[in-house]
Order: sequence, then C-alpha cells, then structure tokens
Amino acid sequence: MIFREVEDRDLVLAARRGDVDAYNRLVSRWEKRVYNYLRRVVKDPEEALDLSQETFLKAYRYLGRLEEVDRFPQWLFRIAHNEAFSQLRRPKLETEAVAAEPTSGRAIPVAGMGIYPLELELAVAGALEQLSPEQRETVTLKVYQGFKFEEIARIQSCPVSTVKSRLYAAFELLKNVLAPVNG
Amino acid sequence: MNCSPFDLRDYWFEELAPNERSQVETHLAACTGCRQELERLRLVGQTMRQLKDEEVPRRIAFVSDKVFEPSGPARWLRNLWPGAPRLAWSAALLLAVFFGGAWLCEPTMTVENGRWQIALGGGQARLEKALAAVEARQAAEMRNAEQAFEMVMKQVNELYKAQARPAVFQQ
Repeated sequence: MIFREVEDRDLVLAARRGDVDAYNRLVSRWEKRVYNYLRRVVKDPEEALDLSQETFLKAYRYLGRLEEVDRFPQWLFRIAHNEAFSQLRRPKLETEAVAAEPTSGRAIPVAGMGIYPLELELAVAGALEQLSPEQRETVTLKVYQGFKFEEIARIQSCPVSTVKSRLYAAFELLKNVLAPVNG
Repeated sequence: MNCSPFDLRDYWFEELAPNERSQVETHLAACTGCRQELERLRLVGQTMRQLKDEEVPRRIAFVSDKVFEPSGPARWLRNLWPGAPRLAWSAALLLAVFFGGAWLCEPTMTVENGRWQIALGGGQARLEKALAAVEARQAAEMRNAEQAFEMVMKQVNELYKAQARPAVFQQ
C-alpha cells in the first residue's frame, strides 16, 4: 500500500509535468475501482461507465489544482462523487423512473443455508439497492474502497459524524435485509 | 446495545486508536453480549464483501485518445508554456518593437495648466529636418553644377567666336 501511494504520487507529479503515459497509468490503475464505486452508487452500468470517463477527464484537466499530491485517491473519488450526485439529481425519464421503483422494506428471497455465491451476490446487490444513494455511497466507500471516515467525509463534503450515522443506519438496514441469508 | 468502552462498530471498521482497540479487546474477552454483537457485524460485513468488483466493460479512454484533447485556448496555452526559448524570443521581439517604436515616435511629456500631456511625433519632426537638409544639399549641388555648366558653355562660346573672325583681323 505504501509503495502504491509513492508510485501514485510520482505518476501524478509526472502527469502534471505533461507526461501523458504517466496519466494513462493512473487511469489503468484506478479505472476499476472508480467504475465499481460509480456502478454501486448510480446502479446503471452504462451511466457508471460514462461517469467514470468524465471523472478521469476532469481529473486530468484539474490535476494542477490538486494541492496534496498524496491525496490523489480521495481527490479522484471526490470528483467521482460530484459526477454521481449530479447525475442522480438530474430528472429521470419516465421509463427509467418506473424501472428504478424503490424496493424499500422488501425481503431478499433467498434460502438461508447452502446458498450459492451468485445468489449471495444478487442478495447483496438487492440489499444495497434498498439504501438511499448517500448510504449506499458511504457503504461503498467504507466496505469496498476501504477509506477512513475522515477521507469519506472529505469526499462527501460533510462532517465525520454524518458519515458514521449514514454508515451505521445502512448497516442496521442491511443486517435486517440480509438476515435470511445470514441465517 | 452493547456495553463496550468504545463503539463496537468503530472497532470493527478499524477506526479506533491502538490504545482504544486494546481496551475494547479486553472488554470483549469478558463480555458475551458484545462478542455476539461483533459477530453479527462481522457476518454482515462478510456477506457484503461477497459482491465482487466487476471488470470495466469498455476501456476508459486514455489521455492520448481524442476525448482527452483540451479545448482550443487551453491547447494553445499548453503548447506555449513549455516552449521557453520560444517564449523568450517572443518577449525579445515584443520589447524590440516597443523600444523601436518609442525611439521613432519620441514621445514628449509636457505640463500645461497643471495637466500632463504626452505627445508623439518627435521622430517625425527629426525626419522632416533630415529630409530638408538632404534637399538643401541636393539643391546646392544642383546650383553648383548649373554654374559649372554655364562657365563651360561661356568658354566654348568664346572659343567659337575667336575661330569665326576674318583672316585680316588675325594678321
């Protein structure tokens, strides 16, 4: 992890000096994580892909404004967060709205024992969909991306207490929704 | 609810300082309820992690791809900045034009009735003066040439007259 941070730092500095290959390497390194974060927040894979592209494009344009080079990941996810929530705030077409009907409170129909990995994945994906976008994002940043509370607070531009309350509320909900899976 | 000295969720999410963690661990060793609560958290977390990362369906465009090309003005600025020698030459040229223009225009500054006035054109006056001097020199040379020509013509005329006299006068 330390090595990776050092390398990211070097790549960011090189990219700032105009080294195109250095930025290409940063894209290669971070595209999967950024895409999966956006995929879980906005849910639609095509939208997630477009937003990932936009995130890297903006990061490249504003790389000179990154004050703390060591904080490139948080800064990148901050851009992705802005992209995702701008997208979520846009009014959806009627057909999309029907497709995205909330499933709040619905139990996941899975058997408790002997569950297959694919079913388990579907159950978790379904459980995540029941969270609000902010809760889903917080769970994604903590559980799947491994950021610290303070880093998440910077990405979401809110106090640490808000991050914690979002995460703990989400975990309570997930605990109930996934109860049939966990037995 | 749990009776842990620090929030068990903070412990499970690894957000506690080392000394806080050790206090929670000491408590857990003696508290069955907190151990069960921690086990529930662990189970939810473990289940959540079953959701694997997907591969990116299409490659995100690289900087070298067209999508990353900056806008016109941004590209111009980016091209200009690294070319330090080019920038230096441009600056030198601009300075030369400025000082050359200033030398030719010879701006003069005067104060009339408490108001500053800047006038250009000292160079024009000097140019006119130089032209007048050249013209005067040319006129003088022309006059000298005319006088010389008249002298020559007079001498030629005298010679002609002397040759045309009758022989009787010559004896």
